[in-house]
Amino acid sequence: MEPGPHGLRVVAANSLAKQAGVQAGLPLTDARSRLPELLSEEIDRASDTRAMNKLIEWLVRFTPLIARDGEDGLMLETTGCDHLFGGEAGMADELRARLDETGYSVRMAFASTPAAAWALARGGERLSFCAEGEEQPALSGLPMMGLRLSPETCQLLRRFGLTRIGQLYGMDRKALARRFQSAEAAGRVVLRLDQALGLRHEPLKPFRPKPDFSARLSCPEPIASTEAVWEGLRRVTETLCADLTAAGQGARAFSFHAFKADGKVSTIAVRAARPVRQDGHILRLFAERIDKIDPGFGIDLFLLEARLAGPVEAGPMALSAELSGKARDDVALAALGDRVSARLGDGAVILRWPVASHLPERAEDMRVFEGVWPERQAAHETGPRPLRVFSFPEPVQVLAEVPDGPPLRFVWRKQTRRVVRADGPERIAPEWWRFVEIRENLSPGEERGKQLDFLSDCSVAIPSPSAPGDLRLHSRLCGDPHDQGSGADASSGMRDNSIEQVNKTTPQSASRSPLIPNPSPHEGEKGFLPRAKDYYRVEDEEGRRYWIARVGLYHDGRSGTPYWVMAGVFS
Amino acid sequence: MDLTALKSQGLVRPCRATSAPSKLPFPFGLGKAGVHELVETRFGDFAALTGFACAALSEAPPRSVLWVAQARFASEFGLPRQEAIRGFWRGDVACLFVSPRKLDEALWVVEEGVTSGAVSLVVAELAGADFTATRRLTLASRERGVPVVALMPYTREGVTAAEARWRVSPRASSPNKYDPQAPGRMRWRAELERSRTAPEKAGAVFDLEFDDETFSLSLVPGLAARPVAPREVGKPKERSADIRPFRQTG
Repeated sequence: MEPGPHGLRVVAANSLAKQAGVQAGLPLTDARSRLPELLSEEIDRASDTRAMNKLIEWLVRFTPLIARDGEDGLMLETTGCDHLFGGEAGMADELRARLDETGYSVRMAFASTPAAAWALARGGERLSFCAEGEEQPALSGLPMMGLRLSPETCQLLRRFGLTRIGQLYGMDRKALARRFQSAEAAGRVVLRLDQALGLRHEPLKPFRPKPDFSARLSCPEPIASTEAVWEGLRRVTETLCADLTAAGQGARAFSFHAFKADGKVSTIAVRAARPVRQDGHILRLFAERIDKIDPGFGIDLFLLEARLAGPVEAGPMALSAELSGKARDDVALAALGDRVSARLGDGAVILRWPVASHLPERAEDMRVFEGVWPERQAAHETGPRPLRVFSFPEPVQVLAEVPDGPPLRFVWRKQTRRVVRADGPERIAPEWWRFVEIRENLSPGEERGKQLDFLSDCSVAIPSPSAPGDLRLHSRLCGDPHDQGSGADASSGMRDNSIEQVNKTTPQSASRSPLIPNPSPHEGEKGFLPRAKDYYRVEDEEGRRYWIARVGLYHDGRSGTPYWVMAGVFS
Repeated sequence: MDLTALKSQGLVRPCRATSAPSKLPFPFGLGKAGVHELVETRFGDFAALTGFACAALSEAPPRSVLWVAQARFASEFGLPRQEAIRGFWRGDVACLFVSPRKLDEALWVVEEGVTSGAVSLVVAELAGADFTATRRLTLASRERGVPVVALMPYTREGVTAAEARWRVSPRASSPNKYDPQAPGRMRWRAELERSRTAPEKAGAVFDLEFDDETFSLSLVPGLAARPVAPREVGKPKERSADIRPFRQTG
């Protein structure tokens, strides 16, 4: 049962209840009156969905292409698969036997169009077959509901006296369309009819993408030992690699399914950075995860699927990178990366990817290694940069001359250090475009990435783009080239000016003197603005060299006094 | 069992009073083959250690590197930057980074990198490694000819099967000829704590300076390694009026 607009109603009933006249859609009170001893329970759709998804994963043993069909239906594309079970009848027997063991009762229909199968499965016998071209006679006696029409449309058709699908065959389409108020509803009836008869194509939306290549091995008797599982994996891998070689292809994602006799399936998956087809390499990747396969009561079918197929770079193999004259051996490095990620988890091998940014924390992105290397870019001139830059600059207490003096003494990680020599400042302006285009409607994953970005900028909050003042800020920053100052920090000067102007336009900040730093955002301000950073290279008494940055300038009108961070440590 | 039988089984061998002086010049095989340990002198020298490792390999820089940093080092000091590595090893370097959390995983990755033959150097930032682990890595490294440079924290002590162990600390940088108040070129002090390739050099201390224009690591004399009386940054030029200097009277 489920709460509906008119109280609780029945959504599913078992066969005994159905015999007593309790059907889906009936109000619960009516059902109780028909069958006083009725037991009812609230439907748990989340668990149903999960169970259905598990069932789909298990049904992969019959066909690779499976689509979910509403709450309680599955659509299996059996083309080319039924002969494995001795034709459609054999497949139906096998399916029914397997599903009976696991406690599911099913209604099945085999037809050449998805719509016809839908109608037959719901309106026909418990098991029905419909050969290609015989849809018209097979469907003619079925109720109109079998065309997947809305209840209102069905009711309308019933008023016209049309209750069976067969009654629609001989009707003039235009005459039919005239009876409906909206052309859309008429169009839907015709579309569904055409789909059922195979006059129009109906695509399936597969639950999982179809693999590019697959290999299967069924065992005459369920096996339960780890060695046998390994042997099964070895055999299917050999078969699959032979197929790949014949097609001249390699694949980047492999998933290995072990179907157990009790209707469960264990799956392990590995990925490769480049398309591969060497069975030794694939087996080595699987070897790290094979212990995740639990044989349980025995495994009766192995299936290995390959996805993300692509051409394999074939060529004479160099003995080593040095001999080949290339700086690196891409194939060997990709193989190494695959093995490390197979053991430590996907995304364990990372690569530093250059990003066009002056901010040292952003200048090199960390990316998961996928066999691709960045193009070598001409290095732009920068000041001295440390070998190791903290991805999250750490707070540091600094004693320094106001406004622009280098640090004289600082406390970092609870230790006080006296500065002996210092160099700087090197001023790096914030990237205002990253703060202005800010961040509405981010997806959750993106949100986190951006948030990290943002934290590493050491700024305190983000202006909201929804406020009109900020939009004005945006246009001024982007579009007004006359504001540009001159000299070393032209960009920061430009931004300062424009922000002052914007501040003046908001009534709340008009009274504020630009010389007094405001410790907290004023009313009307949506938050804080990004600040320029001054970097100093300092050396302490012990000869350790640090890279310390002051975030913000004094009197820059950006909410609060500047603060200091440790950006990195020189070697 | 007599001595000849033992000798024939390789269980005893005549000990040599003095080993032959090694032919290898300064880094004593660092970056050639085998495991070389670079160890912090005190807590906090890890960045200096990284720089020294890069500088010591700058003569014959590797072209593809597997950099294994245990997660605690990667989070405490950040991962090395590719652009900065290029500053030590002129030219293009393919660098793969892995930061496993556990020590045994890190050791596995190091061995995998050595045996794969895909990289020409493995840099390993490890919290420690027992004798068995270092022996295993040394054998793999010698067999494949892929050097392993292990960077370890200051707590590293005791037996090892590595070729050498260096203890590294930063030193005051060289005088900056353009600005006497600014730091100059990087300098380190490296002590060769133990070495199999050059045992007679064990205990030797080297003061080193890296020239980032010629990409060369050179020895500096101990005296010259001392900075030339650096002035304190921001020291007030004039004393304030109420503190009078000591004046001799009479």
